[in-house]
Parts: sequence; C-alpha cells; structure tokens
Amino acid sequence: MRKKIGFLAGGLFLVGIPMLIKNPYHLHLLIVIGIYGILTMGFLMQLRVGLISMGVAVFWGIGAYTSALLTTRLGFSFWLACPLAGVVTALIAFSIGIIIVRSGGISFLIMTLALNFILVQVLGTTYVGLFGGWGGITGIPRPVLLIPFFGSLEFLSKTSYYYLILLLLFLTVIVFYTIYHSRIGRAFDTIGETPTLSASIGIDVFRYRLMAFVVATFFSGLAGSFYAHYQCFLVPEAFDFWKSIYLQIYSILGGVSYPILGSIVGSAIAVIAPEFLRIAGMMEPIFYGILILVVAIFLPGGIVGFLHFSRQGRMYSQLGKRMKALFISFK
Amino acid sequence: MALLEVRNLSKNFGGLAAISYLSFDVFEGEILGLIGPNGAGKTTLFNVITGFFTPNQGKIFFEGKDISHFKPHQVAQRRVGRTFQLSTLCMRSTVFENVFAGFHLNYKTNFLKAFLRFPSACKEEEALRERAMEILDFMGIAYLRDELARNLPHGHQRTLGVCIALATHPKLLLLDEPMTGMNPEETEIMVGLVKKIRDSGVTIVIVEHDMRAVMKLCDRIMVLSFGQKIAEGIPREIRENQEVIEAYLGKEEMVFRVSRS
Repeated sequence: MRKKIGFLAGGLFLVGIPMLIKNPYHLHLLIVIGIYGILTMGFLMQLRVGLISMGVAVFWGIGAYTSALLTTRLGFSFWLACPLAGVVTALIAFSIGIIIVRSGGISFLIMTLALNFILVQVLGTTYVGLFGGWGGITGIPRPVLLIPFFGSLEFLSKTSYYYLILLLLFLTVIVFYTIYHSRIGRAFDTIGETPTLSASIGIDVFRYRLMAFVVATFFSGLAGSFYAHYQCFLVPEAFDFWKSIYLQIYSILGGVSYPILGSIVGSAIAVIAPEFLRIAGMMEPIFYGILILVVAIFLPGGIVGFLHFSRQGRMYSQLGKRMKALFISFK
Repeated sequence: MALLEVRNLSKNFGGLAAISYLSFDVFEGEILGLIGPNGAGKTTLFNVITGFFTPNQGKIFFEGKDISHFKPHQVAQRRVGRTFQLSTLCMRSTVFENVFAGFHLNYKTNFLKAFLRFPSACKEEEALRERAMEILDFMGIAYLRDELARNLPHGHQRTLGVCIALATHPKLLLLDEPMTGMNPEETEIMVGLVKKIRDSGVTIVIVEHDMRAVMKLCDRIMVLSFGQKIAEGIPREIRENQEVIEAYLGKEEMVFRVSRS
C-alpha cells in the first residue's frame, strides 16, 4: 500500500514538473533523462538474464532511423511510426538475437559491440540516398496531435515533449515492473544467477534470454523514435558505441540491482551532474570521472542501493567495509 | 518396465572415455546408489541423463520415451529433477525465493494471465507459496526462509539444492553428493529425508561418497570405474565384491609392493 502511494506521488510529481520548471533548457535535460532512463532500463533487463550488451545504442539507432525514414520518406504520422519503429526494432533484434543470444556470455558482449560498429558504418556509408550518409537525416517532422473538434496540436514546446516522454517512460516502467514481478521476472533472476540451475528446473534459458532481449530492444526502439522526432535530425555518430558504454555507466551510478528506479536515478545523475561540474571548465571530465569512481568504490549498490541500505541502517557498515578494503589496498 | 533405461551409453571428451557402453535400469520407487572412485564418470552420467551433455552413443529412455538428445529444460519438463555437485543456487536470493523459483514448471495459468495478473494467476501463486513453505518444512530448513542462500553453511546449501529439485515435482530425482559438508548427525537426518522423499513416490538415484550413508540408504548400488559398470547389486553384495574393493583400494599386489618399498 505504501508502495502504491509512493508510486502515485512520484507520478503526480513528475506530471507537475512543467508547472515548476519554466526554463526550457532544464526541461530539455529532463527529456534526455527520460530517453536515457528507458535505454538504461533495457540494458538492465538484458543484464538481468546475464547478457551484457555493449550495443544498447544499436537498437536505439535502428528505432530512430526506422521512425525517421517512415515519416520523411513514406509520410507516416509519428503516432504510427513510433510503435512501428518499436516493432521493426524488435523484429530485427529477434532475428539477430536467434544467433547471438544463444551464445551468451562474453561472445554476446563482443557481438553486440561489433553490431554497434557495423550499424554506424552502415548508416554512414551505405545507401546514402536512403540513410543520408554521415550527414544523416534532416527535417524529421515534429509529432502533430490531432484532437477532434479542437484542431491540431504540434509539438513545439519542450513541455509537450516532456509529457510525451513521460508517457513513454510510464509505459516502459509499467511493462518492466509487471515483468519483474511476475514469474517471468523470477525466471530472469534465476537465469541471471545460474543458467545451469535454471535449465535443471525446466526454464528454457535461450527462450527467456531472447524474450528479455526483444522486450528491451522494443522499448529502445520506441525511445529512438522519440529521439528522432525530438531532435528533428539524425546523424549516425549519435549511436556510436560510446553511447552504449555511457548507458552502462548510468546503470552503475543508479544501481545495477534496481533495474527500474536505478536506471532513472542513474541517468538523472549522469545528465545533471555535468551541469554542476561545468564551473570546473576544462577539468569537468576529471570530476565526472571521480564521481563515477566514488560511486563505484563506496556505493557498490549505486545511488539507489545506497538509499535503500541507509534506510535499513546497514549503510555505515557497508561504507566502513569499503573504506577498510580501500585502505588495505593502498597500503 | 523400468522408469529410466540407459542402453549402451558412451560419452567421450576428446580421447577420454568418461562413460563407455553403460547400460542399466532404474525401477520405479527405488533408491539406486551410484558409487565409484573419483573420475569414474558419475557426475558425467548425471549430466548426460539430464541433457547437459549429449551422448556420443547410446540411448536413454525415460518412461519409455527416448530423451537422449533432449535439452536440459526438456528433460526437466519430463519431471527429472537433479541437484548439482557444487552448490548451484541463486546465491543473492533468499532461501524461500530459491525454492519458489523451482516452481517454474508447476504453473498452470499461461504467460499472459501471469503478466496481466489475473485473479487465477494470483491465487495460483499463493498456493505455490504455501507449497514452498511445505517443502522447506519437510526438509527442516523452514526457519532459514529469509536467509540469503550465500550465507548458509555448506550443508544447508546442499539441503536447499534438494528443496529446489523437489519443487519441480520430479518423478525421478538425481542427487549428486547431497551429503558433502554435513556432519554425521546431519547426514543421518538427510538419509531419513531421502527415504521419506522416496516414500512420497519419487524414484531416486544418488551419488555419494559417504559409504555408510549409501549402504544404509540404497536398495541397489551400482559401481562405476573409468566409465564402466563393474558391479551392481544390493549393498551387502557390493561390500563383499572383490572388484569393487580393488577399484577403491587398488589391487592387492600393488598395495603390497608399495608398502615394501
């Protein structure tokens, strides 16, 4: 019950944010947090079943390009192109996944990494007429909402985009939450810890891994579609493998064991922290790096894990243990 | 008809024959002990039966159906449960969650209903929760239900492994050294529990190094050495079998020669 009230309050707060924040740049940051939050959630779902994906950005890019092509070349509306982008991404993920998910472990990692390079190259150099080469696709239309008896509403303000990404985020959270809290999620957990045991209790490891992979990429595709119509232009470099690495860092910042809240908090910190670190000027990346190190060393459960622990009063013992370990290692 | 029939089974790792031309039957309702020196192929045999390894030759029939090329989860779906030699548990989960995970095959409501949380799916989950507690009670570790699996002593981890296997509701249960890391009293309790499991209608094949426990527990014993069956029979026969003694202790002349030099 308390959890439900918490959810409701959090949701209402998020809905109300545009009333409090008028600065469009701040809203832009929130929108970016939303996109990264969805992508990080996808990464963590794959991690849950023991698949370390180095190519989260691949399916984000596929979603973005699919949606952009559907709207610019075929004249689809955003409302059709967005779910289609998700479906196309999921289908591509399914056909690739049949090959790469089966192997699991380190080879999955390497193959997703390779996919990331392949995607950027393919988008940049092949079918220049279609993909637009390294220059990318420009002039992607903004979503237009047609309301009967009212007229049309074009998404021009950041506020409208904010509500759109909030909707997507809510959708993702609801779906992921239900998955994690059903027997499918339990099977995920078991697979992530010991694939051997899972097989021995009758879980089809490959099928569940493929399922996690496809579900995660579906939502990455949706996020990609949103990104395309938010930026209104796309370049292949936006989906290079550094993005995939960054998303992993976000998940570590938030807490790997908290696949929903951790992703959102992690991306929020990762997006907001550089704003505060900007005063450091050239030194900014160093401070950013230090922040990540501090979290990784002292808060192994990430920020959410830290808050969770501190509520149970176990924080100090954890911190003390870490300090001690660090001290010993320096000696 | 035997519950499990193994016919001419061979498994090679490169040039090493881990199991060669092995044939045996497991009859319904019995406890079959599987013993042999280290490297005799006992665990390999379990892995082949449960589909973790594919056999190079031979067939395995479970309830008359050929399962020799099944995948592990397909074998499990035929209700063959197993435990592992090394404690293979969800170490970060609690004892209860571990057992609960084992119910994967026991759901009757489908995927979509579970996802959308139909009342029937919730009710089913509730029933399975109770069943998990029953299993923990039965195995005597109910008081540890909220303990993390990794914090358990080794003996309790073995017991938990058996609990998970029981949760799959097996017809045939393959226990791989369930008594390692247990003191004599715990072993005694485990012997009683395995017997109780058998009495509840589960056929059991057990690999164990604790000879006293094996002799007490098993209806029949099969001895493996270098992947071959060297003896099979009731415990008393095995104890007096010359070949078995040789396999375990070496040939008499060898012992003699060593002791002289």
